[in-house]
Amino acid sequence: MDVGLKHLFLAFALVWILHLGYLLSLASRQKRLSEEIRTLEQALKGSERSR
Amino acid sequence: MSERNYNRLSLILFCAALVMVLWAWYAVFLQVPTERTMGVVQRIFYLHLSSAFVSFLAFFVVFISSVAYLLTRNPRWDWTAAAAAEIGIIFIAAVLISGPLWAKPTWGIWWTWDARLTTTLVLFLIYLAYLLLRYYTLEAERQARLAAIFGIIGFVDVPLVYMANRWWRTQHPQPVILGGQESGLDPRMWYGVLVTFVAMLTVGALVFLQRYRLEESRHAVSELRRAIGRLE
Repeated sequence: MDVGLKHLFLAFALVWILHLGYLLSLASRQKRLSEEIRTLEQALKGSERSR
Repeated sequence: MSERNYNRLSLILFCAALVMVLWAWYAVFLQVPTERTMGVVQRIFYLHLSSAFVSFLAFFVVFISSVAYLLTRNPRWDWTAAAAAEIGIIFIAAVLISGPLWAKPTWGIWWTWDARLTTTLVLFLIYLAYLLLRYYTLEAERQARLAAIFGIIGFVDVPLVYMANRWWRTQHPQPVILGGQESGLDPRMWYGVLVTFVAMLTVGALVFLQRYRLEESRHAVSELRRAIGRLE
């Protein structure tokens, strides 16, 4: 394969892997936080009821 | 914004980003003309330039939000700055990845310490330090205030990066956009630049929304913990 073409494909692949990886990491962090919010909301309701 | 609205807006932006990215790939690989001297590798230019534009825009958002935070002390400005800084870093990393891959076949070297390349690397390191500062400062108000000051000072490097190949002799090519009478692009190349820029901007907007939501959720978690702590 031509060196220029190889570098072109490599640049596109690496940059889009970077963007996709970052987006997936954000989604996974958000999922964890949403679960934590739900757990804390339940705990708060529990604490309010027990008072 | 409610979770439902976030999800709806995310879906719209995701679809728009997907369409624009596919369009940009089609334009760059099949529609734009091949440059005469560099050949096919010059097509990295579209990715490289649009990533740089979006990173500058993101750092400008950090600057504006930091000023707004110091004036209003509204935490939403701080969340905006944090989200924009991380997006700027991702896009400037894309510039630093695509640049050497373009440089090697055209200059024969991966990297050189010329003014444009060095100021770009410094820009990446400044905002990396900005994120580390946020990470290691524990108290929320102090974190936001220090980050805002850093975000304003750090922005000084953006015009330096932009002007570097205008002010100094560099290995990096002279500007082809807004570079004077000697510069310019073939109209078909302009089409490639615009499509790729809009694609990158849409991806940036999608990522910004997700990152901002994350900051909002973190705030919600600390508020809930505080509320539980008060009840116990």
